[in-house]
Amino acid sequence: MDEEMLRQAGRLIQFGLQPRLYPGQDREYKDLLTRFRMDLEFDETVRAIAEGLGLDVALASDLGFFLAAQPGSVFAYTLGSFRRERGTQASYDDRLLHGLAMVAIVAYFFPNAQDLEYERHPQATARDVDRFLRGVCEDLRRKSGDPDVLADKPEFEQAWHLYLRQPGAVETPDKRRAQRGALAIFDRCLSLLEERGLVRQVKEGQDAPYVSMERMRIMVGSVAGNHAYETLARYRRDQLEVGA
Amino acid sequence: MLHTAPIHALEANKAMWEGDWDVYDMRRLQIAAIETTLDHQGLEGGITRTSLKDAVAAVAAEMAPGGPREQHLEAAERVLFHLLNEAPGSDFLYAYQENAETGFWQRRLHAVKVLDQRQGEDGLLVVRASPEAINLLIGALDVDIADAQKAEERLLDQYIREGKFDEAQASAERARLRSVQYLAHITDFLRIVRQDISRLDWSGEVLDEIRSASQHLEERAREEATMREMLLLKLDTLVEPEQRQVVLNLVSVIMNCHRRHRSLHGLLMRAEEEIPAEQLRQRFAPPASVSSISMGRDVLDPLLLLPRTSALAVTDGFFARLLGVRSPEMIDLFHLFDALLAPRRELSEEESEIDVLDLEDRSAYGTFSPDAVVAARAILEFTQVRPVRVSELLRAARQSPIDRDQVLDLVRLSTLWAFAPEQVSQPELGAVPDGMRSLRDGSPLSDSEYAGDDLLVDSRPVE
Repeated sequence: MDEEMLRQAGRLIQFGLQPRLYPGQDREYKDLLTRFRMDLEFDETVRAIAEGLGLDVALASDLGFFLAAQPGSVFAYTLGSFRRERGTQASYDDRLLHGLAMVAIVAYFFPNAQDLEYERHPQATARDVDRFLRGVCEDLRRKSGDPDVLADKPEFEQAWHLYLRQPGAVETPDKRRAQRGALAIFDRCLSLLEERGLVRQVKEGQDAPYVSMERMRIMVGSVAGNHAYETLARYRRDQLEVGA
Repeated sequence: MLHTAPIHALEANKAMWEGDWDVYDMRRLQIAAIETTLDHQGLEGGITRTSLKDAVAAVAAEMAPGGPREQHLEAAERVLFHLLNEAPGSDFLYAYQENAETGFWQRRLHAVKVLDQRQGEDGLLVVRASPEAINLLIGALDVDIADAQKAEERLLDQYIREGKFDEAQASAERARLRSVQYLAHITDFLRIVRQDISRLDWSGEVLDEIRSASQHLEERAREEATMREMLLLKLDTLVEPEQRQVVLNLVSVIMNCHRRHRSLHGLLMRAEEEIPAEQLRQRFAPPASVSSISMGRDVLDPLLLLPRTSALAVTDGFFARLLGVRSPEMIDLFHLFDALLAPRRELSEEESEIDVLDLEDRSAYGTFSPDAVVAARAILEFTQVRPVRVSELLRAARQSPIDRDQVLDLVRLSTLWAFAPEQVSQPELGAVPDGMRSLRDGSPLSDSEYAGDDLLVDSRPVE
């Protein structure tokens, strides 16, 4: 095996691990991307090394080399670690709320299938997404006829109940947003997404809108969306089997 | 006709807004936004939303002179918000009836895009105008862009031959817009090919399309070259300054088209090489194509209906895949985040005092002592009598009884200054005699500390 090629493959993976670096900013990155697209052998080498590291190549385009971590890889970043690293106890509900918020943010940016097909850069603030998710939950409540949760089986409570129980914005006496409440959850999720190059804040300050970047569309469209959809479909099948 | 609908919609809506917006012609502002976008639209890059907003606000300010700047910016913001469809679900969709082949009338929806944002290779978002927006400016209907461009240049060519420069000007402007349109069309096409070739092609059509585009561009380049030559010939025969100006403008517009076409041609040449490889690669490793999952209906709704335990499993998986990979550099950012979350530092009530430092006053001679300046002046004054070599001056300075190092520095620096005197930084110390100049005659300096040319220093008045 050509040692030089291995080294180059490693370089490209390293570039792919930097979510806020763009090929337009680095000549070498750009050249390696072109090589990846032109040279089949190089392509295979990169994929093999990535696989060994627990990474999948989601997409290689002019805008970057997009990698996704396989479950259990050292590069995998989980909800639990996100909350733990912020010094909070990753309680069950806390994790679920942040997970729901992430799905809601993505669904707000790209509600329909065709929205994921072509490049677009919609905007959203924490308040917009909160209002959106609250609306969806209220809708589900109306449709379900609002049955009360079985007191002895809290784990069967549907997820929307949990969200509707959250207070909206909790303010501290000096008018800043407290760390509790639904808006704070969205603030945290959006700023994490910004750190990872999936969204970008358009203006400064509280309630400033974020705009989605291509990385978000690509990660949702090529990896995350499919995965969520398949998991949901599996649950539905299981439920049907239990019902039958 | 539907393409103008978005433009009229905003003007019609303005009556419903709070405040007085009658001073602004929203249609003109929108056209200005599209024109500014087109001016900046090239192969790479374009105008950012912020700069575009400023440009539109400037037009708004011309409409309502004396109005507050905030209001101009607000008007510009509304224009962009509207044209970029930034409100959720605000896409320009228009229903129309069509008489289908079956003989029945059918309702169809037509989507119109005016401006949208694209991410550049450097990660910046830039605003771009759609082909429909360009049609809107030209006042043309949907036709094949390449044909339209050809037709426009033929017309331009004819106007130039006949010497109808005013018509030629308008025609050249349209040709320029067509070239922007063509460029956008081809770059979009190439981008899709790169991402997922199967969407467009299973039988080599893509390569044909690229070849015909290259050919089209070669033709354009030839025609542009002849037109330019012809214009330059005409320019020689014209005497009236006004007409000359028109012709010069024409030349610059044509050059603008020409530059665009040349850069696009380079891109196509690269694509012609890359695409067969791309085809091969994508066929061997089917790309994870961006598939059609409706995040609202197919994911969010069923997710919210799941019991909490199952929902958590879904969101955990979604989260991990969405965020991609964690990279080591993130660790710093986590600490930064913690720091941001830390409680605010106490602000003390009293103003904190800044300690007044006990600094020594700077003397009029800087760090040099007055004695050293006087001594240096005395040495340099020899040059008023006859030209003296630097080596000689340095020797004299070394023998100075007081502040030997300072005198040496002063003499050395003064002679260097005099080699290329700057009027702006005339040494203020008074050590340099008026009119002192250093000349180089090539003899090398032999000195224990310094090397270089043994300059000849002269302060005698110039005859």
